[in-house]
Amino acid sequence: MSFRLRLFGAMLLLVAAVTWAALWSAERSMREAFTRALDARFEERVARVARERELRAEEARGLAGAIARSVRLQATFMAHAEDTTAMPGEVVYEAAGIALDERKPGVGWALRLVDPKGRPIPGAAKLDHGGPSLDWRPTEESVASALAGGREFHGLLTTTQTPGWWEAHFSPIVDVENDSLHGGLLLARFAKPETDEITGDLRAGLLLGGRLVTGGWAAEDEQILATLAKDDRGRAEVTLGGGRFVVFWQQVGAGGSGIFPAAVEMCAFSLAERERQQRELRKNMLGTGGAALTAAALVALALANGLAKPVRELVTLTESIRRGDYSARATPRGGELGTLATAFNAMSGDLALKDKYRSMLDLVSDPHVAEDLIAGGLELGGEEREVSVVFCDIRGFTTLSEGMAPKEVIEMLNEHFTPLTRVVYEQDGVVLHFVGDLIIALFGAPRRSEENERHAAACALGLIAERARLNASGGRQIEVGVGVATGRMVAGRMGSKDRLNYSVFGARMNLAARLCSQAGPMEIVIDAPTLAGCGKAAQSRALGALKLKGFSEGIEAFQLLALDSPETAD
Amino acid sequence: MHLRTATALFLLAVSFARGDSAGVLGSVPITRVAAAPIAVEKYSGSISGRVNPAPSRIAGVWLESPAIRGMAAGSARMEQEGYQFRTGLLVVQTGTRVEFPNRDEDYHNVFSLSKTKRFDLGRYRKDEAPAAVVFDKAGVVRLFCEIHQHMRSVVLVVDSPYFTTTDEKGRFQLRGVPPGSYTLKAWLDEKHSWEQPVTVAGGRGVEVALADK
Repeated sequence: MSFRLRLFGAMLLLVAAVTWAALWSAERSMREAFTRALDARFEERVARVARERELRAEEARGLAGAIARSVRLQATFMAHAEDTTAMPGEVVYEAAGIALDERKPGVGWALRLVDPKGRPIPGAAKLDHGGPSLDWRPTEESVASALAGGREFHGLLTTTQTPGWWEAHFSPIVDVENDSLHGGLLLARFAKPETDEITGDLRAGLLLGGRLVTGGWAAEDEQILATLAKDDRGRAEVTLGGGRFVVFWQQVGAGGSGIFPAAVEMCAFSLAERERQQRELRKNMLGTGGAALTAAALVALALANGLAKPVRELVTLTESIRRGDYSARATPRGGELGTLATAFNAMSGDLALKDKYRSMLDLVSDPHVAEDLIAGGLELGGEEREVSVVFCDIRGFTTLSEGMAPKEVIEMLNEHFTPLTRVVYEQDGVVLHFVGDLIIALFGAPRRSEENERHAAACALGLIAERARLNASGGRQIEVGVGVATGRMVAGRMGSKDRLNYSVFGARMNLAARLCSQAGPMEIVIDAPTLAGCGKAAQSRALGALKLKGFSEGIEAFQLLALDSPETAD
Repeated sequence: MHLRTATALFLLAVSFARGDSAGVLGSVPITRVAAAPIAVEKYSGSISGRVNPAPSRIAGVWLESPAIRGMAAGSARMEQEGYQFRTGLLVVQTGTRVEFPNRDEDYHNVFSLSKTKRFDLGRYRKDEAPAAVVFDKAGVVRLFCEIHQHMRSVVLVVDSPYFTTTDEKGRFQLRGVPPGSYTLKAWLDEKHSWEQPVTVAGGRGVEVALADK
């Protein structure tokens, strides 16, 4: 998979992962914050409702106390206890009603009276005159024991007329004179929920004796709510009437006295707002994420491109080098790729040089000469030059190599040629060819020299000496003969354009070859111009005019014995 | 204690022997009741004077007999003073007219829901003509003041002209009783009442000590 694709993919993944993580974290925080806010709101509401209820309870307590201490009521109770026929319940209620009205309490009050045994005193109906029903039917035992305990209770009671309920206060009626128990008094005030508590995003509810008395909910929802309130307090998320709500509940007032039913205060908060906020958040986050993704993609693209272009260039250049075009150069630039380009350019430069070397080395084995050739840039064709040529071959080579395996022969020749080639180089000569056992060396080309002859002569002597040394030091016993000729010859790169060789040809080449065959083992035969070129330094022995194949006239030849000159280079 | 009672009795007996009208004397056991503290409540007005201590707990004693019949009754008075009824127990003969004058600066009210006599005098002040009630049936009539809840009293209506109340120790004396056989009755409260036949002989007193049942 391409680098660009990988980079792109990685960027995409990263941005997506970050966006998702941020969204998840934000959603969670938001949800928690929402729940905490709702918690706080519920607490606040419960506290507020409790305070308000407490205030009203205080009022009821005061009122009930005043009624209970009313002389008329107590007198009536006593008379009723004495004789229920003479003093029926209705009269007792009348007295209680009068006692209540005297205190101008306002509307919505109801009274119930019981005797010390907890039995209800009949006759309440007349007093109620058409108000909402007051459902109070505790067991006689629970009322009797409450009276015996002498404590007051406050609680909530149901009515059939919903929405609505009664806030009730129960207290014993104790004789002011002698503390005897006359009976009990239940004083209740009718209450209704505030409309804004039934609608809106906060919906309050009061669960009394398992029934929702505040109304505002469908029957199925009422059932769901009723089943929720199992513990003292709690919170749950439910679906009500086609929406998600979180419901908080808390028990209020102790229904434990047995006189009042269990009451649970409930609040349902619509989660629509939370969901809306969450949707909003998601939208924003995804939008931001999308934008980030696009930006990341563009950046990735730019980066990848910045990388791909130089890489492609280098690939193209590498291709051209493969094809042999060593002129390919990369565009210099900054950074790592710039370093690569520079290295590439150096490499291709070196390759170009190596290539040149190779073709040059096809021609000559002398690196100095090769350098000159490269520097000089010779053309096709030759030039006529005054050169000295040295031929050196092995005497009796055929016989020598007869019984040898080809590998052995090559080995022998390489062992022979390597030191001898060095001798040529030492005299500033150029090894033109190796032909079988023959070395052809050139003096005066391609580099010009004023002392071709002397160098050639010194080289010839060196060759002999070197061969002798090799023979003496335990190598194969090989004997060479050397021939040297000097004259004008044509020298240059010859051949076809695709394969050029540096070569020399001319009549004197032939002569050198013939002179070489004339030479005995470890002898040097030179011609007149060579001798002349060496001057007085050469010691020689005239051989006379030799009759040589290819030459119509006899050629003056000499045997070179020594060359004494301090300038003879090593 | 015994010695003192004995001495008193002896002296009384002596006085009888000196020729006073025959009568009955004795004692009724007065059971103690825990006194409820008087809570000075916030009344509709305020109390302009001092609240007297509650009247002592006493019992009523009378003699009944079938022979007593159709005797004229008189009148009596039950004052309200110091934010109390004058007495905790007033014994009157059937047919007595009782007045209830208000001697305090504030309003008072007297009412009763008792089966024996149900009445309500309404609220009245000191300067108003005192209301009165004729008690035409024998029985116990509990009195209340609607304004002052601690004010309680009882009118004991008896079919007899021979009645009295004990002192706080329970001692009583009935004088001017014609000789004859009677039933001595005593009443302290709903739960405490006594009855005992007694014969009054001419010129001699009778002693009765009623015992706790």
